[in-house]
Amino acid sequence: MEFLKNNGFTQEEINKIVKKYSPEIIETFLLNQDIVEDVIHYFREFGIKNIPRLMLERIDIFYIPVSKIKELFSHYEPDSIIKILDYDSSLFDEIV
Amino acid sequence: MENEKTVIDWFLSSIDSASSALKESLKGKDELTTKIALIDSFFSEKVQEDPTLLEGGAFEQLKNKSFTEIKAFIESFAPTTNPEFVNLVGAAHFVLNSKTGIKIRESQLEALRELRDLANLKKASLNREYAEKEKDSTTLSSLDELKISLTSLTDHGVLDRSIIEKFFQLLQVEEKDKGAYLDAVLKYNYDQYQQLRKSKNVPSIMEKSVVKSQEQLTFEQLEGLFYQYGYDFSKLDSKYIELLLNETSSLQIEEIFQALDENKITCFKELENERYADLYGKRITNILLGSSKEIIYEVARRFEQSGVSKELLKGYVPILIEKVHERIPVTNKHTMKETKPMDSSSTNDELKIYGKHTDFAANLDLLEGLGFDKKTLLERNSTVLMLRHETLLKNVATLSLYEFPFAAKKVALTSLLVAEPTELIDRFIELGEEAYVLNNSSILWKVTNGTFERLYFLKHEGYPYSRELKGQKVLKLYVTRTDRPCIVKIGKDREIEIPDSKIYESVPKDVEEFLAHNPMSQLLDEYVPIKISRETLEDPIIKNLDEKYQATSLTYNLEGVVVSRKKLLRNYEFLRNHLQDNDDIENILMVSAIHNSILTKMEIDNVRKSLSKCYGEKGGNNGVLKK
Repeated sequence: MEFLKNNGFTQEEINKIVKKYSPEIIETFLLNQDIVEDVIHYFREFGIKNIPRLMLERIDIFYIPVSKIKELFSHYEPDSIIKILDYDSSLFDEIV
Repeated sequence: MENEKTVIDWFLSSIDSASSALKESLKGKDELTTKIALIDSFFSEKVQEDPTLLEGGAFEQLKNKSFTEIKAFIESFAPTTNPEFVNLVGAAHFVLNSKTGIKIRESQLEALRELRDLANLKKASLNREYAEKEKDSTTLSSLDELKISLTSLTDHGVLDRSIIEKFFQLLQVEEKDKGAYLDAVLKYNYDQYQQLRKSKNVPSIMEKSVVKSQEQLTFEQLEGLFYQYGYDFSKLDSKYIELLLNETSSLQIEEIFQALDENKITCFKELENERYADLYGKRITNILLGSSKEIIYEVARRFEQSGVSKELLKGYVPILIEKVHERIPVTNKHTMKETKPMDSSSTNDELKIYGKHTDFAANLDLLEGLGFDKKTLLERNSTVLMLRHETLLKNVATLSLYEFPFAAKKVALTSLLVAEPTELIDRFIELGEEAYVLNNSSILWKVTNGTFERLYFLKHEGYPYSRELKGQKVLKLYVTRTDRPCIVKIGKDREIEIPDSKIYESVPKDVEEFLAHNPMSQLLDEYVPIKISRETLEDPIIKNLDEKYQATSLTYNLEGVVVSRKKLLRNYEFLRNHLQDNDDIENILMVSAIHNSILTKMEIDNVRKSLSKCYGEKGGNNGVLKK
């Protein structure tokens, strides 16, 4: 999970993520490191603020290729998406 | 070598050079023939047949020629023959073998023997030289044939393995130089193959691919296959190359690459960023070692049928393989140890990832059967699809037990990722949020440490803990966002912060104290049962309990205390099966009811009073449980 540090995650944030999810999910996560990093970069550029928290709550979102996320987000105003995801990540399923 | 188009010219040029050199060396071949014939004539039978050849002149001349002169003649073998000397040597041979009884001096006899031996040696030398010439002559013929093979290739013809091997053999190409030839050949073949596929004119010659072989895979073959199918071999780390060379064959690799190509799965060829070179190598090595043509076809079919782009397979590598090779480094184990302390009982098995194909197929079928949309599943839920099937089955069974609305398609997929949802569900139920958790299953994924304490506190103190969103009840963010201060809005303008310390002080710990050192409770700490059998439901005590105190299918109301009914039943069944000699029904029921609950002493007492009415005389067993 060292690559998360290179993407602005603190060790404490990484520890929480590893503690929350089963080793099975973490293993698959590591195998898709490039996809995960693409999503992190995209979210950051999009303006989403607390990406570590978002990952802690919805690690599954970070497996979705950026091209698909862009397609899903395209139906909404960016500000709305940012507010929703920063406020309550469970609403991700509502907006997409 | 400039480009693939001149590969054939390059080969032809090399062949022409070799042929010219051979022709030059063959020029003296005719002379050799003459010399050998000359020596043969020394031992001609003519002299024996006609001794007159020796009489007089020949023999006399032999006697007059010195040994040195004759020896010099034999060794020199001047192109033109000298009949006189030929006769002399013939005479010498005759004398040595003759039974004519011609008397010569012993020294002359010795000289004659030496001459004969010298002639034999020379003949042997000439014969060897002639054999070399013969070999060169054969090589020259083979080169001519090879040239014909190359010049007769059709427009889309590929360079066959047998042609390459023949070229290497005839031109005696050194091992260190073969790589450059193969590289050029395989790039040429790949281009030819691509053009051929476009024209859909694939002849049977394609079966004889350059590297198709059942033999031990070589470095050149592996490299060749990667380039042939458009994969960047140069980015493959040596650890993956070693694995592939030792653990697979060219047939297997070719089969997989072909299957990927035929199903238009190209996402694994791309390496957009050098930083991911190791991931690229890991993915492709995993697939080559652990996948099969059948798996690739089946996965591709599922994606196609669901209308999902196969580019998404990049995030689904595990579903293309049955089992990851044990030697493939999947995680940085040092990283895992830094972030998640492993206790002494943990083993390396926890860090292994397993091939997910079987799990994926079973999970997809299971979830589709539960009403989830296959396209959505594949596009957005790789995590759930790659759970171990047993895990997913257990989670589905658990949520089904608690009557989550699968039929109404209102169950969030993320809720299926939660490892042990029963405790979370029980807590929500016992805090009066049965309807909420059933209709908002995604909340299970969001619960963190402190969520239930905050919820308990806010509810008991009368603070707002939920709001309405689109006609649905939603928990306030400060209930689940325990990483943030609990700042509660009072009225329109006032906010207060409730410190977590105050919250934790207020939440009762009486259940923990009550159950401390209780072996039955300790059993439930170690194992979370989910099974509820018909036998348990038919148990007289449970039937009594249902009759007196069941509020909903999911709850009992025990003198004002809401207890999760499913929790009580599954714990009761489990503990009944683990009865010890001194256990009694009261203890088992109490533990089953209040384990993991947040209750005050008074509430615990209410529960006990209620339960006591369900066993004893009216309970049927007079307080004694039978094993």
